[in-house]
Amino acid sequence: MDPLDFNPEKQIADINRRIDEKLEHLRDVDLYKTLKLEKLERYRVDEPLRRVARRYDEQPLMVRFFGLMDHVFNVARACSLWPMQFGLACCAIEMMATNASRYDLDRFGIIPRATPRQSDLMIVAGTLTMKMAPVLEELYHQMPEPRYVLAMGSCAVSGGRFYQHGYSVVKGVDRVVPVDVYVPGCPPRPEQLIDGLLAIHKKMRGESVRHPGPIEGEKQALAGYRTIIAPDEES
Amino acid sequence: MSESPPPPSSQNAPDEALQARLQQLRDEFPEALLEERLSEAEMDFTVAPAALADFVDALRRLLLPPQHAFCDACGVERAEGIEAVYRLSLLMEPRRVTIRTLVPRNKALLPTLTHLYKGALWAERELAEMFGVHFEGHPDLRHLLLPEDWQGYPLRKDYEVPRAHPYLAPDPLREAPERVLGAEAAAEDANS
Amino acid sequence: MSDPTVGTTDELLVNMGPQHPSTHGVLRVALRLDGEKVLGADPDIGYLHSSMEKIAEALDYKQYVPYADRFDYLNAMGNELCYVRAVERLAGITVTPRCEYIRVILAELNRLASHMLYFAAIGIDLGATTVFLYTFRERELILDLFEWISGQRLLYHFLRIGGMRNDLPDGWTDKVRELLALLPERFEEYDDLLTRNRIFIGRTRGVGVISPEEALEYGMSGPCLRACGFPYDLRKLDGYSVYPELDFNVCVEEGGDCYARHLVRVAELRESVKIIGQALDRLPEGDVNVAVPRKLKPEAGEVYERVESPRGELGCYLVSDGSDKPWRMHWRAPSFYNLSALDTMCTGGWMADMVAVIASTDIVLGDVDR
Repeated sequence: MDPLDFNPEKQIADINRRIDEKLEHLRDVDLYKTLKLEKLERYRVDEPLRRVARRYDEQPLMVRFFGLMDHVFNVARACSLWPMQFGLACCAIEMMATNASRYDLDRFGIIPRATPRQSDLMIVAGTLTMKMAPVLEELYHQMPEPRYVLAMGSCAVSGGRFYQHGYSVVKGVDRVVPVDVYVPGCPPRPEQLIDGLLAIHKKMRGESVRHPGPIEGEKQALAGYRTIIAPDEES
Repeated sequence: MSESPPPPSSQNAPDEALQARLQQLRDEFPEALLEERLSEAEMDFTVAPAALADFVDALRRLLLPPQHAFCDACGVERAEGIEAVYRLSLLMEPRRVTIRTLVPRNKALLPTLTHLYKGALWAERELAEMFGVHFEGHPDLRHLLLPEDWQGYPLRKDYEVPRAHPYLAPDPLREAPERVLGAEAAAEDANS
Repeated sequence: MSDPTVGTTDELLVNMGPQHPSTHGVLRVALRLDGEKVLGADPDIGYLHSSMEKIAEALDYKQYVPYADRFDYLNAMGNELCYVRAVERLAGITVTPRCEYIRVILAELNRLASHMLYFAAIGIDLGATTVFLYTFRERELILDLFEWISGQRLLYHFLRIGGMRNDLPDGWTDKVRELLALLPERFEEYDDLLTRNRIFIGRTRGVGVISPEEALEYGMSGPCLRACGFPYDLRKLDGYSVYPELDFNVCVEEGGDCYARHLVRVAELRESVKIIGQALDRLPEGDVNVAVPRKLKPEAGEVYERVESPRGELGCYLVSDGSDKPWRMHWRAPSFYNLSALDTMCTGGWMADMVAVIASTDIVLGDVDR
């Protein structure tokens, strides 16, 4: 197969197949034996809320109410964004510096969490190698939804300085997990990382309780191949 | 807590004793010691592969001070084969001690030095996976830096990077943008 | 029938995984535990192996300098110094005295920054988060100086073959002197928080002991070896660059435990300040760059050049075949050999001490995995 073959439908089919395989695995787990598995995909905490919101799509007042609720939820989520620090290499040091005294991230509500189970965001800071790629994928799946991924540094964005001659560096984190925001730099300055985090905030503000999150997000990321973040006209 | 630098020790040692011990070393390994380069700055020995472990043991006994450190072990691919280069550092003098052996590419076998220096444990693992050298007697010759299922010996000159792997394949958006964006968009992108 | 009050114990295999809250990077340690006691620790490295040695064979000597930065990314100037000195020796280039002095000042500033990050890391790993914030406050001042001179905070690409990118800007040396005047009392603050802290002493004294003979066998160097009693400091032993003209002490401790390694680094901070002050006083005037051919083709040969990095003996083994690209480049990474002794240091201790040992060995995974 030609390595330059770009085939988004096939990739989406691959993702769906992998999700189905993971659900297949859960069939054996006792906890889920009592649930009908066709409902498993729709077994989300906010599913009842989503059904209620969709029922009132025709009524403008209820739409405005759910819009306000969306806004409140999104602001609450954005003001308390807890990243799982996935510090791999040199960018991890700049990430630490961004958390530290001068470029304090705690004022944004950002507290680094060591565990994926309690984090909203994964900041992949540094070079992803072939040995580390399966670990990255597993950690991504261990994060609860809604989750975001920020690729920090040129090695995470595209393989960086190892693009041409490296034999063991994955050419970009987005080959393994869907990425929401890319922050280039080698390493990016703390101000650039903060800019990337504010871009995540902006992304969150555009989300609504009516539309489910990340499985769709994976499909969207693949269909466009890159999430295009256009510069803001006002700011 | 802090000390002034150590007084120079073996530089003042009588040269005759050193020469006598060197001669003893040469007598112990008449055919195996292929080449030596000695000066004030370095001691460089080239030995035959099979005698490597015995030679280093004799070197430790005869020439080196009892307190010296294992410095490094690495491989270099030469025209005739793969050369393994071992370095030892003497703590009290800046003289470099280097021991080299050359093995053919298709039969790269060396005795291990792990019974002499524990630092060789990891250094030999790395040499083994990068160059394909097998160390007889090494207790644990798994891959160290590469994933377990990696094929090939990366630091050899004839190694080919597995570009067909989806993680290592070149980026279509960069190499063939017209396939991803369409012909007009790619031309526009290239001109901008 | 067996006594039901006496249980049997089994060996437990626990993974201290590649994703770890500790700041040292992607290291996986497969621990064999008996309850909380460590029976064996097997470090699994290679999660950051970025094929940097192979890449050297595809790039020019001059193109490789930014890659050389990124081995031990906390000591980028030191790495560059090692590489650039190796190439200069191979090609027979001699640099100007002003260049040598500035390189020494930058390398020592980098040593300060690296040791401050060691303080931050060991503090935060053992739970003392305040130290992290305090040392980063001073580290930012040092990074400001680096940014002023080179444009980059962390990975500089500043030293070049035959010199450096540009001469010092006006006022840089005064700013350095201001920093040096400010640092000693900040070091006292760190000592109050960590070195003289009863909890820290309890957690690091007698922990992670390695005997001097084993340290030599493993190939340890730097503060780890100096904490075992050997005054092995390449700045004194090899006397490279202009270090023979500067007056400083080698910091040695006895004991080989975490606390001894900590004390060595504490002393090295003050020695570095001394060195920078002296180098600034003796800084000669003149050019910083010498003419170097555009296509640098050193003659065929090999060289092994080593410097004292904050982690130990950093060496660059460079083999040239006469063309403009290296034939083979190998880096003797100090953290690689320091880490291989982890099993010896941790076996028989508690699981909670693993963190203290890893932090006190001060490894950088970029160095270990290359």
